[in-house]
Amino acid sequence: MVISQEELVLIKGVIKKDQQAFWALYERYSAQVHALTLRILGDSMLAEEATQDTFLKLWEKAHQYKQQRGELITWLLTIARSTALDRIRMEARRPTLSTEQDPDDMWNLLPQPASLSDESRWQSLAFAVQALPEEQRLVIDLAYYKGMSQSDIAEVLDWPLGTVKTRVRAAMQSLRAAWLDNI
Amino acid sequence: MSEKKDDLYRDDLAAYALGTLDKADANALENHLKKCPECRAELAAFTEISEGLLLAIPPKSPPASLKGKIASQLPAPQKSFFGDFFAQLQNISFFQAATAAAFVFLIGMSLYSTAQVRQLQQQQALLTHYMEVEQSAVAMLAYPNTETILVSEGIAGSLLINQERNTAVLFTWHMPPAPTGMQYQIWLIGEDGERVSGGVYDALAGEEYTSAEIELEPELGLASFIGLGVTIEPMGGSPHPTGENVLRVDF
Repeated sequence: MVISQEELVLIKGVIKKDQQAFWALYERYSAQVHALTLRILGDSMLAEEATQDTFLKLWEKAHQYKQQRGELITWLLTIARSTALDRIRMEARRPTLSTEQDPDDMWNLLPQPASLSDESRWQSLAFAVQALPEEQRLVIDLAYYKGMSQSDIAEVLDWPLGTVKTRVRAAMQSLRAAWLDNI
Repeated sequence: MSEKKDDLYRDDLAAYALGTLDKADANALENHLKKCPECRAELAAFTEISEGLLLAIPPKSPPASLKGKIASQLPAPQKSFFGDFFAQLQNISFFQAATAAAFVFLIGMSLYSTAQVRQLQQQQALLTHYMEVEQSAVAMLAYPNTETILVSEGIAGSLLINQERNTAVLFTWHMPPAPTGMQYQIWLIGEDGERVSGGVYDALAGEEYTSAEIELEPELGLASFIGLGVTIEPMGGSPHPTGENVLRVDF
């Protein structure tokens, strides 16, 4: 994954406190950041605040982005996830166990035939998540989008810890297989 | 490290990539990863999946109001002078724009009129000078021993010269104005070829003839020169001829 020249110019602009560059990145990525924070927090008001915090962190910490470690959007979404999970911990909120996804959203995710772009691979990954058995999908959701440890998941769902571990491992291996199928 | 233990660590890689491994297990795995390249490679594969999960959510735009909230947290942008000027332009009414345009027009007209008046004053001063020169020329004609010598090379004209009174006036016909920033300069030519400045002058466009009185230091007599020439020089004249030779008169 290589960062585009245009993105490189924009992130360098943000480092130099160029607001035009900052707003260009906002226009480009705010929908993905907001979707992720909404998925994690399950509350539009909190998601909006987490999205705001994420972009303010981009403004303040753009110099911490390392091109060689991955794409800008991945870095930004990692910040968004961390920000949203911090908000859950701060408010000691019990995460919403929303594992259902809007069918229309999923329909929009359908990849173009024969497309091998990164975007289509991520869309395929979204489908692979939805195709997981219910119990595996649940552990992925709680682990990744709610920031819960395996012990927490075991406690919340009242499952043995070993079962949680097994289901996490099985889910990730299924996703990995689906990912490799789309390379 | 035993094979069984390696397998146990391997079992934890997926949970670690998801960030769901319990703290103690995560610390132990991190120590193992320092020594196990195979586990590091497998972890990289799972990390790719967890990063993919970040992107595997359909985008959903935040409310439009969020942009304003974020903007209020950023420092005020530093605009350039022209950026401010054009931003202000976008906010003014048609009436204000029309008033400003009229104001600019009036200032422009005022500047144009001032320039025109200044040009007319310069022309008037030049014509006054010509008149004085021509009066001198008329007076010279009244004196005995005043000679008229035709220009021998270049622009047509003649020289009225009275060596006893040490005065001379040069007339040229249809002489074009010198280029912008330049003037005509008269040079008196000595027997040894040395050039002595006889003054600078201008020519007006469209004039039938141009007159110039030769300015000479009193101690230098015209009789000591064998002729004169005119060159185009920078405004105010040069110490020595440098420009194009326009005409020559042999005494």
